[in-house]
Amino acid sequence: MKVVKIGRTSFNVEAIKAMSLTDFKRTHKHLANAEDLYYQVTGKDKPKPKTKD
Amino acid sequence: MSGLCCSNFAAATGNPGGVIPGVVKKIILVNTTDSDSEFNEIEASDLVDGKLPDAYIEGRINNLDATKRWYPSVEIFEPEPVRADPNTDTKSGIDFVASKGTRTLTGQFINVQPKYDKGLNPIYCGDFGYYFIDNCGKVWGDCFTKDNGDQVLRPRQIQSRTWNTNYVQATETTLAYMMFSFAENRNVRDENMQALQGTYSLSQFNGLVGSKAVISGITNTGFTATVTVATGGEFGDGLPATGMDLADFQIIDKTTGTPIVPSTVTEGADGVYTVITPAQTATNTIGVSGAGGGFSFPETTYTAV
Repeated sequence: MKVVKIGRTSFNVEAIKAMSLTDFKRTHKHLANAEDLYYQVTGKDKPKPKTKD
Repeated sequence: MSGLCCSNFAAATGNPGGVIPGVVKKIILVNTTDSDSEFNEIEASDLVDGKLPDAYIEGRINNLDATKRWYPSVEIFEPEPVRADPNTDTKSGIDFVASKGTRTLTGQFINVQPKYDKGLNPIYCGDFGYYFIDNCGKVWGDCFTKDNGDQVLRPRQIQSRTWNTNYVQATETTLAYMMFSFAENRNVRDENMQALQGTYSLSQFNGLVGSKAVISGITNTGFTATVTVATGGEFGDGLPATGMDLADFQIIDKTTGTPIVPSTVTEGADGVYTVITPAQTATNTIGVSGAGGGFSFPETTYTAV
């Protein structure tokens, strides 16, 4: 089990990778920056915000 | 040992040299066998470059399985490791030695609270042994040769129901201290007392602080554990057990016997841990225990929702 600690939260990396962002945000409402943490832990690319042409 | 063994060949009397046990500074209490019914022992293959690595020691002290865990004491003062006079039988005025006397260790823990005794109580009737660390940084145990010829270092076995403590309060001229004593099992031989390769620091062997956890905020996917130090000296206190992380929690669905691996553990306020798990089956009994980060707490259970 790979565990990484960011701030005061320790993450089970495999478990987080297996979760969708939606599920992660639903179960981790106590984390203020849940979305950023999700991408940081999983290493997945965060979608770039759409820009107006 | 219970009786003396005799043989007809001459003993070897040359001194092989080597290390000699120094003054006992700490003891490491260990269950004789673990939950898998295996002996708790140190194998030669556990040594790396002639020394027990820090990771091995930390893994033992913080082991989530309490039966595999090492329990180092605080520093010992006034240690007295002695073997009693032999048991003799007088025949025709001659004192024949029937058996060796019992080896005991007594000592004092200073600067501990009376409640320190609580964590030591299981030793009285449990099946425990001990390694000791001396003032030269050597870790000593009981060398045992297995049937396959492999040698291992096991803890020296403590005779059940000989462990005793006595808290002595301070006076105008003396410190408060906790006296302890125990006897070794009579089958433990002095000749098998051997030290691990390498030298070690006393600070490498610090026991976990006994704590307790209160579970609240139960949801289908987790709970909050408030972990406080149970050995605080003041009535009603509860110092937070801060610094634990995900790997320090052991969670099991006791209804199915299935381990539950948390996804995250977040310490909000000091000692207050929000634990997120996969969804659980409602009404199942969930057990939570912990060891690591300097603390341990025994299993507490809740009913999944």
